[in-house]
Amino acid sequence: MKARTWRLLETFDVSPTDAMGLDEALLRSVGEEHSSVPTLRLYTWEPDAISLGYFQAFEDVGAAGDHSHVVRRLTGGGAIHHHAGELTFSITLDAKDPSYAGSVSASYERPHSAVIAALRAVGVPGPRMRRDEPSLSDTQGTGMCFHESTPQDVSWTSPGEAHSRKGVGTAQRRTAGRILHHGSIKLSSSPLESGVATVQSVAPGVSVMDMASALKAAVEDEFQVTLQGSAPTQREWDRCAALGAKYVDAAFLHRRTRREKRDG
Amino acid sequence: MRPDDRRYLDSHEWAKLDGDLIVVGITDFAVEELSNGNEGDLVYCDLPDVGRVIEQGETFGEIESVKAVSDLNAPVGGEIVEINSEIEEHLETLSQDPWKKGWLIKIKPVDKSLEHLLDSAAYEANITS
Repeated sequence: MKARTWRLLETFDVSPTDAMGLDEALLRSVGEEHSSVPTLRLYTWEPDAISLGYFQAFEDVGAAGDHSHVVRRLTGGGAIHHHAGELTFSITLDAKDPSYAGSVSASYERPHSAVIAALRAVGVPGPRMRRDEPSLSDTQGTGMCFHESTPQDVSWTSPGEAHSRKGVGTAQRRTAGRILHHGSIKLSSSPLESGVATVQSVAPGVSVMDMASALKAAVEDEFQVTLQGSAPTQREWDRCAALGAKYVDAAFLHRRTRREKRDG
Repeated sequence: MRPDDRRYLDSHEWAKLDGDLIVVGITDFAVEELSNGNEGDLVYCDLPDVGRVIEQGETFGEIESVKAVSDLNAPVGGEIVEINSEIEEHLETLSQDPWKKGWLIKIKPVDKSLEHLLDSAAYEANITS
């Protein structure tokens, strides 16, 4: 019997507004009633959409200009194409939760260990944090998350290549003593994110649901918790409904930071 | 030990009385947590416009490191009368001198009292607990 229980939410094929609105609702409900324990949420998007990083300028992401569905995330970093071959996850928890102890950088180690274990379990050979290794997927000027890597990003090497490519994107929002941790795992490629590592390129036949199952098991193992399947509370859905529209609002999508306004 | 000439929020902002104004910044602990000792990991700091009126506890700005966006919270309510725009271009100042040159905003407070905030000993205890 594991010492702790985490809540598990599986919300597949959600709209872009529900994708982001529910994550903010979960973030806001940390510490309240049913959310005194961390929540792992697994989800996919329908229709597919581009999410911009919190501080990204819309015009710096070429793919966004040509896409019908664009949202802005609460988390930072680059833009992501959330398509049918992608699994998104979020973890929401109290910033003082022992699962995320230490610096921001240190708090990535355990979630990344879980993701790496899940990738191994579905047959990806040698997934790892890239550390000081060069990344073959780094590409200048696209504004895409998967085209810019940090030493902690989870990457793997394709047969015949000397170095790895980024296959998992992650970012955090920290607000009011709470953390929202976003993750994106690429099962298949998108023309909007060419050259990134995908699960199916090295482990053909692995589905999004296979990846979700592997991630659940890996999270339970890494954090020594039992995931208890649940559904968002009515209050969380209500909050999601109230918050969701913000993410596609033109003023939010095209907002300019103080510095951008100053620099013209 | 952090400076005892100012008070602290448990979200790692500091507030110091300077004449009629309250100067606000973030602590070395916050900088270290965000940057992990690598000043290049701080990416962007979004500060408010001068003239904005904020309430105590309200988010007045945000700071982005390589891996997280974090809120900046107001220790007191009042009108923002000055911002340190140098920080937006030179985030390394936050790592090098978070207590003086790394200040973020100055507030003309509704109430100058800082008694509701943590003193340095309490803040110290908070981050080591």
